[in-house]
Amino acid sequence: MATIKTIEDMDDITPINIRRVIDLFAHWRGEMPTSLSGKNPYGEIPAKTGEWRNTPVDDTVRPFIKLERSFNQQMLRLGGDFSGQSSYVLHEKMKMSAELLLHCSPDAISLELTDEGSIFYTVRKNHFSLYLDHYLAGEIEGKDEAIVSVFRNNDKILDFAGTLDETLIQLNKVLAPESIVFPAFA
Amino acid sequence: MSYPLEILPAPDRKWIDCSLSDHHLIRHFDLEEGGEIIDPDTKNIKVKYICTPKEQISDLSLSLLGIYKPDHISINFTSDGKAKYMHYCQPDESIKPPVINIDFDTKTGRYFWCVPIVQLHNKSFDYSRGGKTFVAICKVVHTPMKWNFWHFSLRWKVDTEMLEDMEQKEKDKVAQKLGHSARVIIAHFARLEHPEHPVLPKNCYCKN
Repeated sequence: MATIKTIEDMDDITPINIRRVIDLFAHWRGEMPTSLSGKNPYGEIPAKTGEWRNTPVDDTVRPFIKLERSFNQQMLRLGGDFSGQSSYVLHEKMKMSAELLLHCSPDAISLELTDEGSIFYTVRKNHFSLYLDHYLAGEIEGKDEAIVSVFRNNDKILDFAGTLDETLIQLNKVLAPESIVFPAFA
Repeated sequence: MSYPLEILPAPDRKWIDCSLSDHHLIRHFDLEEGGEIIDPDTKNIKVKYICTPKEQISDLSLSLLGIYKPDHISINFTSDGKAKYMHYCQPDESIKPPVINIDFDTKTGRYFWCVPIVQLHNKSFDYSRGGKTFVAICKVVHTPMKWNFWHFSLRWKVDTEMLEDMEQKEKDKVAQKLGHSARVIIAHFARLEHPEHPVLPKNCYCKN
């Protein structure tokens, strides 16, 4: 028969450990540890590596969740039958392009699945409108294809078709002078 | 309801030969049950109401707003009516008017968007990459049909060739880029409102 744990047995839930968890989260959020001495009193805090890198940073969490929900709802309506790939693969691809676009901290962003097997993103940032098709089936040299068009107000300033990486590099070239940067490709 | 004769081709009509740069095109769509027309975040018309299914993208049907009014979008052809009237024709062809409940009925609850012609006609998309050139130019073309003199088509010239003249294999190759171009240009400029527009002078579409 299992013994009932008393509060004395619960070594893990001491104030010091709770504090450590808070500090770890603060560190992962990019904030300073709360130590008054300026040093981390709990030793080395793990670097932001592994799984954490695959999760959108705090500023982008909310818009990412909205995009993901929209993607899932649209996939559901299509019965999961979209561009002939498993829903897991499609979801991972969506995560990749959505996170890349969210790096520029857009004012507004949305996605729609098209009849041509692409995710069509609309991004608004300052007076720029960015339209990006991320094709989920076709590949160039093993990499996902994308096409992007960018408008400054009503003037088109960029069309580009290539791999998703190349497309983001082109976006950086055109938009970096306007202080709109996609850090992963800067 | 009798069929609006003012939208039919007629012997006194001709190809529209005036500039339409101040005019708008209109296209109707049916809203999905419970669906939203406008994306709440970006305020754009949702792409599925712009040009789906896929086949329509490379030759999108629209009408010139003016004598063709938003009221006319409720005209809904029956299967028999489609077989008789959904064909291209000469602007001055004499057409027997479609008959209600045989050739057409009306459908309420349709929506429309409008887009300025000046933002579409001759606009180019350049996808040249690594020495390979690919330039698609959008063309707004007057394409009267037996049911609608004011019918226009959005077509594409790819490099030097019109899309409709290309072989199917070539068409398939460029379809992806044209699909993107059409989505983008309409998503950016289409509006749900009925815009103000000038009246097209009669001499632009009538003989003498």
